[in-house]
This record gives sequence, structure tokens and C-alpha cells, in this order.
Amino acid sequence: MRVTEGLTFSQMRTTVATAQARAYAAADVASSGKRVAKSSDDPTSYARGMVMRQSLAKLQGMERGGSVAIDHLTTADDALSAAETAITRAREIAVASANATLSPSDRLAYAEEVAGLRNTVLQAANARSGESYVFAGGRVSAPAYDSLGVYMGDDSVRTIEVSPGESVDINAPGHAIFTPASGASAFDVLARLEANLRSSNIPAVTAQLNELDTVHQQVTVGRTNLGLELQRSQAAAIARDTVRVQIESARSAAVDADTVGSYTALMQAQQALEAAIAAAQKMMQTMSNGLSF
Amino acid sequence: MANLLQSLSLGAGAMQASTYGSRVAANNIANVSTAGYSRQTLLQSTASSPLLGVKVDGVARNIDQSIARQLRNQSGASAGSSTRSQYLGRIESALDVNGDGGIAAKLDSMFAAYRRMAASPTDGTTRAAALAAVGSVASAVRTTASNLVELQRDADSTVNAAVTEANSVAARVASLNAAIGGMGPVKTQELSQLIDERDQALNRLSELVGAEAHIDDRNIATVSVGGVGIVIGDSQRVLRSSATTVSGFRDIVVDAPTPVILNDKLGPSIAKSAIDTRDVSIANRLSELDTFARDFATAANAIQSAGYGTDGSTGTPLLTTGSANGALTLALDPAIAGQPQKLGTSNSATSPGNIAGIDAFLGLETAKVSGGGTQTLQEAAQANITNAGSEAALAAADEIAQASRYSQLNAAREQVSGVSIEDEMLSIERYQRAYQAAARVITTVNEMLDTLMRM
Repeated sequence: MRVTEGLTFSQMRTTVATAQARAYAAADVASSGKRVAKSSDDPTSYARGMVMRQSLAKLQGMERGGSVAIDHLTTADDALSAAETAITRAREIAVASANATLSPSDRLAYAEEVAGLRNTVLQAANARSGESYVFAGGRVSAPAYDSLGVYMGDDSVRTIEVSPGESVDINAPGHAIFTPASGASAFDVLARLEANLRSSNIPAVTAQLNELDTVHQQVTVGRTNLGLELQRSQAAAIARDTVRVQIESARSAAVDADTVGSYTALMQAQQALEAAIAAAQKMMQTMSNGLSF
Repeated sequence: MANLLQSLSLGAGAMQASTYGSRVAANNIANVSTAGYSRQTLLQSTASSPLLGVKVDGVARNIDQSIARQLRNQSGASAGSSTRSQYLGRIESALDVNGDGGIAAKLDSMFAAYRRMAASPTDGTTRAAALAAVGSVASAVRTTASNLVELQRDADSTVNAAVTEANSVAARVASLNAAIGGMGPVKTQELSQLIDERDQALNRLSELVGAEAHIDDRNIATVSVGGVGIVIGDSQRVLRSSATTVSGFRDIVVDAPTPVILNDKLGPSIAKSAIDTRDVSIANRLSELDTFARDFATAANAIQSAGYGTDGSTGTPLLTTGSANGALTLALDPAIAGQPQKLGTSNSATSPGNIAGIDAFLGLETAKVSGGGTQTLQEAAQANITNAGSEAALAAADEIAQASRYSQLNAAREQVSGVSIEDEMLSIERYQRAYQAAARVITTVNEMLDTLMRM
């Protein structure tokens, strides 16, 4: 093989340039922490990274839904708890008012209290979470009930995904709880109880105990159902966190650089570059010595 | 007496040959770093009787024609591969500017915004955010398409520049052919340098337009591009870059004598890679984007138009696209821009908290509405990036392979044609010694003649 100056310089240039390119690439990976910064670095890993980024974005969208679900359902639970308490108190009043020793004025006082309890139930039925009336179905912008206890909402149930594969109902139309077609209207029952107490109609008051039990049952069932949705929403929040950690970990494995590995690779590349430069300097010196003869 | 005088002439001839040899070696050293220079060697032989001694036959140019031909072809392949790799890298960047997923990431954000809106469908802020997220996808599609079109124009300019330079270089080859032909059969240093210069020009023509060259026994090069001769002897056929009426981009045309379009006939080269990038790689990505834009607009509009906004409106389209280049014109429909209350999130005019429309829109995440019903929108957007990435990765690997092959051939050429300073220094030393010896011969003969004259 005939070795010329051009060949020697070309070889030195190629060796140093290759070592420089490797050192640059290793430094890029070590400083950015990214093994795959663009698709051409590793199309398959990059594609996997994109799918996982999609899943993470989906989870972020669900976080807002999960948070709103918990707010709505907590509001609904608080409201139904207040309604339950009010109806229980109304039943206690109905039982107590049957006592023959009570005077009409005592029953009038009970009637006033029942009117207040009816308002409490009405307020519960018109509970709001943020700007939404939680028992109004889809007509969230207006109260679910008017002052007469007439339902103004509709049958819409809002179901949202709160974690992958897990959806919850974040509302229940009020007329399924307070005024079901097949049950008793809480507002009518309480209005009649108030009227019967005002007129001291003891037999009628006593006869309303079953109705009050039915209304209580309706509210309790509604509260139980929404409580289950609340529990699922809270469990979903934990599940989301777990899934997020898993996805982030898998995504990192697909596109991120191993810190120790990338630093080691950088050190090796730097050493290789220094060796290439040293070898080139040695060659230059040898050639220079040759010319001085 | 006559023999002594002949010896004087023989010594003078030897001194002349040594001087010439030294000059050749010095010229080699002077050109040690000249690109394309081929080492020269003095050709000398024994002079014929009755004079004998040495005579100079000329200067040999050290070259392996087979390696030179391979190197010429490889010049085109390397330059073409490098051009292709650069353009494909830029296409990938155009599709995924920050390496954050480009349009696919915008789609992810859009669906996340719709999810947030599902939780609070009547909240003006979340509705505005959802509408803005749709607009952001449309904007990303438009920007990406616009960047690709710009890149297409850039590639077209490269084609034009390559043709312009190729014509200039071809003219130089024709001129050098004429000069080489006019030098006659004697091998001189000047002839070698003309051939070196001509071969450099041929290499450049290969890089620019994939030109092939045939060199005849008289060292005259015939150059062809796509099978059509563009330099024959000292005459040249000019290449034209002519804008087509269909795409507006330039074709490479040669009048031979009727116009012949050379686009598909070019060898590997800068022009060929620029044409392929412009007409195939970028065109494919743009076509994918156009399809995506139209599919997205069609699917989203069908859902949006069927839904009701919180203001009770219905039938309002979400997106608009132009008739031809869907990606360049994708935008929020003017009927809904700035009016998030018109987003068709409900299935009833009186039930704004109903989210049937949002659920339907979120169904686009899994619905195969793109690519003729074979892909989801996100799959289509991701495929656009990964297809470009795969092409760029292959091109980068090919660029390295071609550069390595070029480097090997260049090393092979260097071994034959390169200058070694050590060799040349030894040559000078040898010629110096020969010169001294010849001078000694003349001195000796002179003394002998002097003795003879004193007798």
C-alpha cells in the first residue's frame, strides 16, 4: 500500500470527525436526557412514545372530569344528607303530633317547622356545584325545582370517564329522587303534612307516615347510588395516579436516556476523541520530522 | 575527438533530463494538497544510437481509469444521498418542529380539552378552551403544510441551481476537451493538468446532475445525462429547467433536438434527490396531510352540526377546508370562531348540561375516520411523523454508507494518484545526483579535450 500525505490527512480527518460526531451525539443525549429526540432517531420507540403521550393527555383530561365528578357528587351527597335529615325530622314531627296532649297551637308550631323542612328539601333539590344545578339533569343552568316543587329539569344523566375504562354518573335527575312518577313527591307530602298539622287533622297526619317513609326511602336510595359513584370517582383518582406513573415510566423507557449509561457513553466518546486528536498530532509530528531531514 | 564531443552532448542531455525530472518532482510537491491533482512521473528512455544517452519522452499522469470512473459515479451517489438526507431531516422537522409530537400532540390536547368540557359543559372558560384547542389543531396542520410547501419550493430552487451550475461546468468541459484535443499526442505536464481539471469538472457534473462520462483514447470526454449527450467533443447541449404547467415546479429538459424531460432518467445526484424529495417525499407527506385535514373536518363537522350549543343553536359547522389543498386551508369555520357557546355539545336545545355531543366528539379518538376508514385521526397524524422519521433514518444511514464508499474510493485513488512528499524528495535527490554525475562527465570530457588540445 502506497501511503501519501493526502491519504494520511484524509484518514486523520475522518477519524477525528467520526470521534467528534460521536462525542457530540453522546453529549446531546447526556445533556438533554433524551435518547430519542425525534422520530428518525428510532422510529419505533418514537411511535411508542407518541402513543404513551396520547394516553397521558387523555389522563390529564380525565383529571378535570374526576375532580368535577367528586365536587358534584360531594355536593349532591351533602344535599341529600340534608334532605334525609329534614324528612326524618318531619316523620318525628308526624309521630309526635299524634300525641293527644298537644294543643292546636303546638301543632301550629310543628306546621311552621315542617314548612321550613320543606324549604330545606327544596334547597337541597336545587343544590349547585359551581354554576351547575346538580339535580336538574341536562338543564344545569336553571334550578331543578320551582317554589311549588315542580321539576324544571330533564332526564339527562351526565356520564364522564374518570379513569381509563371507568365512567361515573356525576348527576341524578332530581325527579327520580324527590318527585318520582311511581313514588311520592317529597314536596307534596311535606306540604300536605304542614296543612294537616295546621288543621290538627291527626288521623291524616298519622296516615302520612307511610308516605314519609317512602320519600325517605327515595332520598336514601338516591344518596346511596350517588355515594357509590362518589366512591368510584375517589378510587378512580388513585387509579389514575397509578396508571400515570406506569405510562410515564414506560414512555421514559422508550425515549429517555439512561442517566448512568449516557454519562458513561459520553466519557467513552470524549476519551475516544482525545485519543484520535492525540494520534493525529503524533502523525503530524512524524511527518514534520520527516521533512526536516 | 568526435567521440569526446558526442560524450559532451550525452552529458548535456543527461543534465537536461535531470532538470526536467526535478521540475516534475517539484511540481508534484507544489500540488500535494491540490484537489484532483494526479501525481506526474517523468518518462525517459535510452536514446537511440549513434548518440545514445537518455531522452525525455514526456510526463506520465498516474491514474487508474477504473477507480476514476467509479469515483466519478460515487461522487453523484454521495452528493445525492447527502442532499436527500438533509431534505428528509428538514421534512421531519417541519412535521414535528419541537420534537413534541406535532399535530398528534395537538390532537391529544384537543381531546383532553373536550374531556374537561364534558365535566363542565356550560362553563364558558372550558368551552372557549375546547374551541381554541380545535383551532390549534387546524393551525398546526396549516403551518405544517405551509412549511412543507416552502420546502418543496426550496427543493425546486435546488434543481434550478443544479442545472445552472451544470451548464456552466459542461461548458468548461467542452472548452477543456478542445484544449486537450489541441495539445497533440505528446504527454506534457500542461496536458496532465488540463485532464485533471477536466476530470474534476466531470466529477462535479456527476454530483450535480448524475452525468456519465466516456473518455476516449485521445482523452476527450463525452458526457451524457439520462442517456442524452450534453458534451460531445467541444460542443455542448444546454440543459433547461422548465416550469411545468401542472405543478409549477421545474422539469429538467434537454433539446435533443426535440425536448426530452430528464427527471426520471437522471443518475444519483443533487438534482435527482431534490426532484425526488420535491415530487415524492414532500408530495406524499402533503397528500397525507390533505387527507387528514379533510377527514378531520368531515368527521368533526358531522358531529358538531348535529349537536346543540348552550345558546340553543344547531347545525353550525366546526371546520372549513378549501376545495383542493385541505391542509393549507383548514381553519375554524367563521360561523363558530370566537363563539364557544355554539359548540354542539348537547343533543337538545334546552338541555345544555347534556354531553351527548361531547361524547360523540370524543368517539373520534377511536373511530377509524381517516385514511379511507383504516386509521384514527391520531394514528394518521402519528403515521405522518413516523413515516417521515423512518425515511429520514434510512436516508441518514444511506448517507453514511455512501460517504464511506466515497472515502474508500478516494483512498484508492490517493494510493495511485496522490503525492507522497517522501517519494518526491527522494526523486529530487536522485535527479540531483544524476545531474551532478552528468556535470562530472562533462567536466571530465572537457579535461580530456583540454589535454588533447595541448598535445
